[in-house]
Amino acid sequence: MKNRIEAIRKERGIRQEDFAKVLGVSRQTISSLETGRYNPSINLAHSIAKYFGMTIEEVFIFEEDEV
Amino acid sequence: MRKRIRLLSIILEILIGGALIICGETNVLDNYWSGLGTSLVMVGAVFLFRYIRYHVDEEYQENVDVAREDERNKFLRMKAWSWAGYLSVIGGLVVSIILKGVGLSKYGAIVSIMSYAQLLLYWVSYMIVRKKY
Repeated sequence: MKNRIEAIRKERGIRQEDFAKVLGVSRQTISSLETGRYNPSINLAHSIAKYFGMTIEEVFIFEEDEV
Repeated sequence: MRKRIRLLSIILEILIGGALIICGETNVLDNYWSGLGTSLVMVGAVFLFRYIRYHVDEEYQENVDVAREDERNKFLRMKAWSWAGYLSVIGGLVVSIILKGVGLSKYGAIVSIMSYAQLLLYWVSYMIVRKKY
């Protein structure tokens, strides 16, 4: 699953450390999410989307072939 | 309450370790027990240091809390245990074949039984977890 976390975060000038602190996760988790090495739980995905004021679908790109 | 139990368990660990060292040194028990006691005291000392630091250093406390609750860390811990389980079973079976090959069939049988016991444990755990979730 791809996502636009890095692009949105940078667009808004938020540092990984600060973003991680707000979400209550480690900076490494943010890094792994951004590089697509780790897919978040629905709860974390919801928190990220909520923080950006967007829907989950706007942040995370779900691809059909991943089913 | 949980904090107090944690602290008491660390202190108890150190005291048991200390008692085992004394018993080992005074020949009440053999060296195996004093060695075990030394390990307990050392591990207990590390735990005590970490416990004190956790309650004194706010930044460290925050880092520990985040690391503990971080969902990726939880995933990594589960993944690592899963790999450890696979390697343990496969490694055990390989070792048992090698032992059989060099004529140590009895030890090979013990090692293979341990590997099968782990598979049985996995199966029982799977059944329990399946009901829970």
